[in-house]
Order: sequence, then structure tokens, then C-alpha cells
Amino acid sequence: MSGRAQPAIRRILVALDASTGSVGALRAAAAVAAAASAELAALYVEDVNLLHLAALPFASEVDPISGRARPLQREGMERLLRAQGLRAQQAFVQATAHLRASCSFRVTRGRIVPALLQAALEADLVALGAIGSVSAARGGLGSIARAVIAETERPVLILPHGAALRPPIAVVVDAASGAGDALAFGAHLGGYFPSSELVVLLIAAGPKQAQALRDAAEAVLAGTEARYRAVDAADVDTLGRALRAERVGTLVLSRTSPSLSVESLGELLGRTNVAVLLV
Amino acid sequence: MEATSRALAALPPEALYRRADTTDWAFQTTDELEDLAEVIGQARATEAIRFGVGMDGDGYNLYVLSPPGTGGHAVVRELLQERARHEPVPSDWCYVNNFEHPHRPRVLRLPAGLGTKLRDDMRELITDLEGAIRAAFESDEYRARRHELEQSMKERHEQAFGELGRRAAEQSIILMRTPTGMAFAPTRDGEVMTPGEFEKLPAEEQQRITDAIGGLQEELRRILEQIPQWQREAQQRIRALDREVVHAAVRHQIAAIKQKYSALPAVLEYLDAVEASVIEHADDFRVEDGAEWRPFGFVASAREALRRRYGVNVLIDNGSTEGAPIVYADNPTYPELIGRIEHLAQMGALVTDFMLIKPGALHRANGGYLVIDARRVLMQPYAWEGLKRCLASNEIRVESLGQMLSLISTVSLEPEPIPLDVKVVLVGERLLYYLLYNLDPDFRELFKVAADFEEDMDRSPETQRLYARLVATLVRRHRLRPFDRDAVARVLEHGARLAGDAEKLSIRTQEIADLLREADYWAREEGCDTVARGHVQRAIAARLRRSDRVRTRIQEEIRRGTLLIDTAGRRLGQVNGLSVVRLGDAEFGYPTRISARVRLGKGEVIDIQREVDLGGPIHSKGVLILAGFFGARYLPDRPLALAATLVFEQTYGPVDGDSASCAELCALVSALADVPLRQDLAITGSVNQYGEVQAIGGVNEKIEGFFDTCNARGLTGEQGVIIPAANVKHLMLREDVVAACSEGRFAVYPVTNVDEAFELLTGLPAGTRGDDGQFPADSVNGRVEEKLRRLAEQAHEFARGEERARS
Repeated sequence: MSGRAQPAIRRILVALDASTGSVGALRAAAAVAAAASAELAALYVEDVNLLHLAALPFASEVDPISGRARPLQREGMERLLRAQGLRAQQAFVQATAHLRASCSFRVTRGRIVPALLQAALEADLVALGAIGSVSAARGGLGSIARAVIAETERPVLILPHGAALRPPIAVVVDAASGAGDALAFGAHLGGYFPSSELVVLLIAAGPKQAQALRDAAEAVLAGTEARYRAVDAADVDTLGRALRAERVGTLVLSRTSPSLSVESLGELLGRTNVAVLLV
Repeated sequence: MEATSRALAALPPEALYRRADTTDWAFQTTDELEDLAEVIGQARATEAIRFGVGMDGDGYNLYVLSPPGTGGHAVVRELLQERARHEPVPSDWCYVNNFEHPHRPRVLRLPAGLGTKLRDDMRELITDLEGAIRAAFESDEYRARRHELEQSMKERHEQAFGELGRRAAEQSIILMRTPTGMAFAPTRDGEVMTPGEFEKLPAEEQQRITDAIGGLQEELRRILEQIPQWQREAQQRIRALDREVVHAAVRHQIAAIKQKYSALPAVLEYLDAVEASVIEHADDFRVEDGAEWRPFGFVASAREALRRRYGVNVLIDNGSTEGAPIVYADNPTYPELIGRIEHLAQMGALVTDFMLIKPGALHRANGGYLVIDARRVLMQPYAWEGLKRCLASNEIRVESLGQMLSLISTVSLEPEPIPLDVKVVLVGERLLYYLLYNLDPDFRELFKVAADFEEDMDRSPETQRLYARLVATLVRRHRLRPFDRDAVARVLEHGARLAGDAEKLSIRTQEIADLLREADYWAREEGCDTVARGHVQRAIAARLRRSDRVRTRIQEEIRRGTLLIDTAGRRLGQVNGLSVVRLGDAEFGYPTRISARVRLGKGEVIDIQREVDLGGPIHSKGVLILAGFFGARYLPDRPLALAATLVFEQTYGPVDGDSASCAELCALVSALADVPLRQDLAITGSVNQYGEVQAIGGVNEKIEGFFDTCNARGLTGEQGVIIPAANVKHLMLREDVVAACSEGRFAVYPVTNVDEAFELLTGLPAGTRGDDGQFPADSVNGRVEEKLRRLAEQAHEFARGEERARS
């Protein structure tokens, strides 16, 4: 890898459902949109599966607090989804109040993942909460986020509960993935926070490999100042320790990297409070 | 019977002023005299103080009855210092946090000097613990164990929901989150079945799905019910881990400090409580500095808050004290005596903690002596009650006035009381002692020893020598010029004048010291190295001059005839009485005209002074005695048919004392006997029902007052003052009065009974009853009785006339 391709972010899609994670994603996306002068498009999908469920004759839901079951009706579900959409819109209005870039909020009805994937085709970056309001979560990553990660080719910014797009930015570089895009994105995000140094985590079996990776990374970063830290494995424990030690706020990973599977990523998000950008 | 008049002699000059006998004084100046080893003339008081301070037991506190200027405070200080320096140094007292009940701080008693050591050790310990606890929580081992616990909790969740989800999936059902809960839905091709699709299913299949969902919901409900329990368990396990980690981190540190205080069980108990508290509140040690923490309402940085919580408030540090403490409570207010709990204003509210407990004088004096001015402590609201309560309960309980009076019911501190072992010495006036003794039942229980200071002492060659040494001591103490022998003699003579008795010497050292300083001033003004008799005399005169404005004005008004006083000739029913006035530190006498008028009446003597409420009770008593005297001496077998009026002319304020009763009697007698009285004489003295003349106060001032009046008009050689013979020993007259008497220009006549006064004032014999029981007709008494007889007969006639008129 040599040279650095400047990532072009012209349109950002935010999957919004009023959950804390999705609102975090909205704020992060707004920050990127402001910095990159990109268009921000928020999409709230009224889940048709929920409407189908509510229309079934035996439909009922269990209250997670009291454990009691209560009947569901289509009208009630319609109302709930509208209210959720309204909250999402309020969050959107609040987050974009001072944003000069072009913004839009759209509500659609359908299946969430296909709707998001369809909308993602027109975006350069997809931002969403790690666990949404409809997800069945495993680890720190919900089912919607997993599906979107698995099926889109667009960079995905994932915000766990309580996280924000904040420095320091760390980029994971390993031998297999050739993390040029990740480094380029990392440097790009790092540019938003000039006072903070970029952290490059080199997944290397030994010092030689680490040096080689560093040389390559320096070539990609082309003069951007960075701090390099070599870690000997990309498992969740090791990576988690490195992230804590560096007090990392945002982690940039290549989706082609074999270092972290989606499962591991879920676990990592469950343990740490960092925003993750998959490129 | 013929009456004879006795020739009453005036007093010789030596009886008017007793000079100091300096014949056995070998010194030339006070430089040659040694300092007094102890207080003179106060043997009774010093004995009582020594007894009081040495006597153990409840209530053996002292009240020192010390009239102003007698130096009670100085003597008490000296005697206490003498004793306290050999007594053991008392303990240090500290307040520490009560971790279980923060509003009841605990008290720690430590050997002297250990209080500050414990405070410093605790500061160091907390600093060390901060580091140790943070390090323990940041260690990889702790993180790994904590993560393991958290992970197991998560896994338990995920496992339960995962298992549920799998079982649902096996039946083509999915678990979904709705906006307000969780629900199960049947699926077809991975998507939720629409109602139309569901309706197309066979009834059995619909029922199967419905039943399956019902079962799954029941399972979900059970899982949800278990979640709080799992969370509790996880939290408990995490807390147990935290405790284990903290315990390991702090155990050695606290063990080290315990080793230092192993001989002090109370400190060890406190350190155990500290250890338990640190383990319980380990999270507070992990808070980054700058964060806020609010124990008992405080807003403070985390570090400051920890310092406070585990701080030691060294209330009393006796580390550098030598012997037992002697504390002088200069401002004995309630909080200054008992201690106080201060507050800090934070966010508009007043908050406090054990570190804000401040000691009072009782705390500082604990194990020693507390000297308090009685008047001051009585003038401070509730201070006396607070002091008594502490002495009665033998403990100091710091509480605010609001708490004591139950005025405030908001939560405040109730510090553990401190055992009290103190000897309180109250120094005050006699009047206060007697008032307290009679009116305050607690007082006699709590102040069992009274040390009564004398104001004067007997005058003898021995005491005069001691007095000279007292002067020498004061001269050196105040760094004054040496006094020569004559100067010392003059000071001594002034001491007798201050005592108002030629046979006594005043030991009000304050006044003597003032005189010495002022004499030294005049010596300095004149450029003398030694203070001579003249300087002392000048100091006395200057002092008199400074304060005699009123006296001068009165004498001036007499001289100008505004105040009517005759100093020559004779007048009927009129006599010169003598009054004495004390204004500030000035005391002077002046003559007052007393007049009497008589007429037919029913035996009453009307005192106009009393009728208009300007006569004090003692004055009234004197007047009533006159009626008794008349009734007994004249016509004892007939009722007195007399109506007499008596008045102090030109007095416009209250008159009290019975020193004018003799003068009043003479005026009455003059009016009755129709014999004029000499106006060149003034008379003072009280009289009893037998006609005996009794001693009065202020004799010197009274004589000097009449002398000044006569002197201003020119002494005739006939003028003088009649005084009770019992007052002769009190004479210490001014030099000019003594000189005039020596030259025969003025005289002082001592009398023992009123007859002698009658003779001096009238020139007629007083007369005694003869064998026939009658007074000689030409005697004063004879004339009086004759007049009374005539009045009685007139009264009888008058009564018969009235009866006849009625019948």
C-alpha cells in the first residue's frame, strides 16, 4: 500500500429509530457531515413485521419490566411506530439545528434491513446504533447492525450505547487486510480533531512485522503524525486492553481484516465504549 | 437644781492625722528594700485559695471575693502558677468521624502530643490508600476478574434469551422487540407471517402456533423475573471482589499504623472502623480529583472530602504544654466557654461536620484551671448556665445555644461529650458572691470554697514595714524611680486615708500602684531621680484636683450665698449637717442646712424628705429613732403632743444614711427649747434612742467639707466640726485642716452623747435629772421638757374643749 486515497463522503445515511445508540449515530453523522460538507439523510423505517405481528389474532407483548403479557393491536402498533418516528424526527431536528449541510429526514414503511440497504446504495457512509430498538442483541451488536454490516459494501459507523465520535482515533492495521482505506479514513476522521494524535494499532507477530507494517502505514499516512503501538494478537482481550490503554474514542477497522469477525466485534463493542468505523 | 456646762476639748493635732512612724525604717530609698515574697494582708484569702486548688472532689471550685483593686486576679494567677507547674500535663483530645452515625462524632483521648501525630499519620495513610486502592483497581488481575464476572452475567442473559430464541426458531417463531416490550411472532421464510397467511393455515396449525407462543411467553416472563435476581447476584459478586481487592490493598497500611498505637485501645477501635469504612467506600478513593462528593451535605473535591472523612480534628493539643494549663477566659460567652460547632455556607445552606467542632475555654483548661471573671460570665447570655451544667455533669457537651434551648430541631452534630476535670476559679465582687449564694442553689454546690480578699489590714510597726516593702515591690514591678523614705511614709499615710481609718492600711494594690505611677510622673516632670514626699503629695492633690469639679461648684455656691449656709452666729432650730457624696473615684463632703419647726400635734416627727420620697430607708430609720428618744427622755408619763417637721434645706435629690440624725435632734431640741444653735459648728453622727452618738462613715471628707466652706469665708478660730468620738480613730485629715487645727483656727470636737453636742452648740448646760426627777429649768433638757409639758397641757385643753363642743 502506498499513497493515500482521500475518502469521498458526500452523502451519509443514518438509520434512526430513537434508540440511544441511533441518536449517538445521528450526532456522529452530523459531525462528519459538518466536517465533510456532506448531505445527511436520516431514515426511519416503520417495521412492517411489527405491524404484521400486531395484526395477528393472538398478538401480545411481554412487558420487560413487569413480565406481564398485554395484547397487541394493529392500531396501537401504528400509533407506537408513529410516536417513535416523531421522537426520531425531534432528535434529528435537534442534532441538525446548526448544520449547514443539506439534511433530510424520511419515514418509510417496510422491512428494516432491506430498506436500509436500499438507502445505503445512495450513501457513502452508513451510521447506525450498535443495538437498535428492534434488535435481538448478541454481545454488543444487534441483529440489524449485523445484517447491515454483512450486506452493505459501504463504510459503516457503529455507535454503541453512550459512545460518541471522539478522539483519539485508532486504526487497526494488519498484514492481511492491507488497511489502506482504514488508514485513509482514520486520518480523515483524525483531521476533525487536530489536537489529538492518530493511534495506529499494528497487529504483528514480532518486531520485524510490526516495523514493516509501520513503514507501510507511514507511507499511506504520508506525513500525518501518528503514534504506533504494536499488539501481538487481534483477539478481543488484547485489543480491548490496547484501546483502554490508549483511551481510544473511535476505532477504524477494515471489514476485510481477518483480525475481527462480526462476533468478535460484537464482543468488543460489549466491553468497550468506542465508536467503530468499518471501511 | 442648777445646771453646769462641761468644757469639751477639741482634738489635738496628732489625733487628726496619724503620721507614719519611720523611726525603725533603716532604708533611704526603696532600692534597699527586698521584694515581698507573698501577698500582704491576705492570709485568709491565700489560705482559702491554696485549700481550694488542692482539694479534690466535686464542687470544690473557688469563688474569689475580690473587691476592685485588691489584686485578686494577680494573686490567683500567682498561686495557680505555683501549683500548676508541678502537675502532670493533661491529655490531648480529638474528634474523629463516627462512620456509623456521622452526626455523633467520636472523641479520642490521647497522651499529650499524640493528637497531632495521629492527625498527620491519618493524612499520610489516606494519601497512601488513595494510591494503593487506585493501583489495585487498575491492575490487570482485577480487571480480568471483574470482566469475568460481568461477562458471566452477560452470558447468562444471552444464554437465556438465546436458548429461548432457538426454541422459538425451532417452531418457526421469532422473538422481536416492539417499541414497548418483547413479542413472539410466527414466521414464514424468515419474515413475520401476515394475518392473511396465518388465517390460511389449518386450524390445528393455528392452535399449535398460538399454544407455542403462549408457552414461549411464559418462559420469557420467567426469564424476565429472574433478571433482577441475576443482576443482584452479579453486583454482590462484584462488590465482594472489590472488598477483597481493597482489603488486600489497605490491610498492611492500616496494620502499620495500628502497630504505632497498639497501646491505645480507643485508637485501635477507631482504626478498625476506618478500615471497614475504607473497604465499604472504596469507590470514593477511585473518584478522580476535582469531582464532587457530598458527605453530610458537603460539596468538596473528592480528595478534600476524603481528608475530611478520615481526618482527625485535634481539639486540644497539649504537646507543648508544661504542667497543668491555666486558662483565663477573657470573653466568657457561651460558645467561648463550651466550644462551638461552626458551619460552612454551601449552595445557600449551612453545613457542618466533626472537623468544624471548635474548643472552648473549658476544653483548653481541662486537666488544669480555668479563671473567669464572675461579672463577665454572668453578663453573657446562658454562659453561666452552660458552665454550671458542665461542672455538675463533669463533662463538656458541645452544643449550640439553639440546641440547648431546643429552638432548632434540624439535624446537627451531637459530639460525644468529653469528661471534664477542671478547677474553676471565679473572681468577682462580694455582692455577686452573696447574691449567687442566696439565689442560685447550684452555686453553693459547685463553688464550695470562698476566698475573701481584704481591702485593708491592721496598721502596726510590723505591717508598716511590710507596707514599705510592698511599695518597693510595686515600684520595681512598674519600673518606677525609687521612692525615698518620706515618700513611702506619705504613701502609707495615704493608704490609711484610703482605708478611711488611721489604724488600718488599704491594700487595694491597684490604687496604690496608680498613686506610685503618678508620683513617679511628677518626679520625672521635675527631673528628680528619686520620688520624694512632695511628689506623692502632688500626685494626691492632682488627683483630687482632677475630680473635684462638683465639689468646687458646691463650695462656690455656698460662698456666693446660693446655698444658704451660715458659718457664724446663732440660729433657732437650724444646724449645719454634713453630707458626703461619691462621684466616680471622688468622695467629698459639704455642709447642708437642717432645720426644724415644732407646734402642737400628736407626737409625730415629720421628715419632709421622707414625705416626698427623697429619704432613703436608713435616713427614715434615723428620724423615727428621734421620736423614740423624745418619748423616752422627756415626759415619759405623758403622750407627746408635738408635731415637728424636719428638712434638709436645698437638697433636690435623695438623702440616705443616718449620719444626720444627731444634727436633726439638735435642730429639734433648739426649736423646742427655744435656744439658738451656733452656726460656726457643723455636726455629724447618728444617734440611738438613748441619746448616744454613734460612728458614721466619711468622717474625714465631712470635716474637710465644712473646713473648705469656712476657710473660703475666712477662719474665725471659733469654727469646727462635732463628730462621734468613735470616729476619732478614723481621722486622717488633709494637711491644711490639720495645720489650721494646730494653729487654733479650726477644731474637731468628739462627742459620745447628744448632751455634749447640745452644750457645744448652745453654750448652755444640757442638764441631767435631779433627785426630784426634774431637769434644771435653765438647762437645754429642762427647757425642752417644759415646752413639751406646755404642749401636752394645751393638747389636753384642746381635747376637752372639743369634747364639750360635741356634748
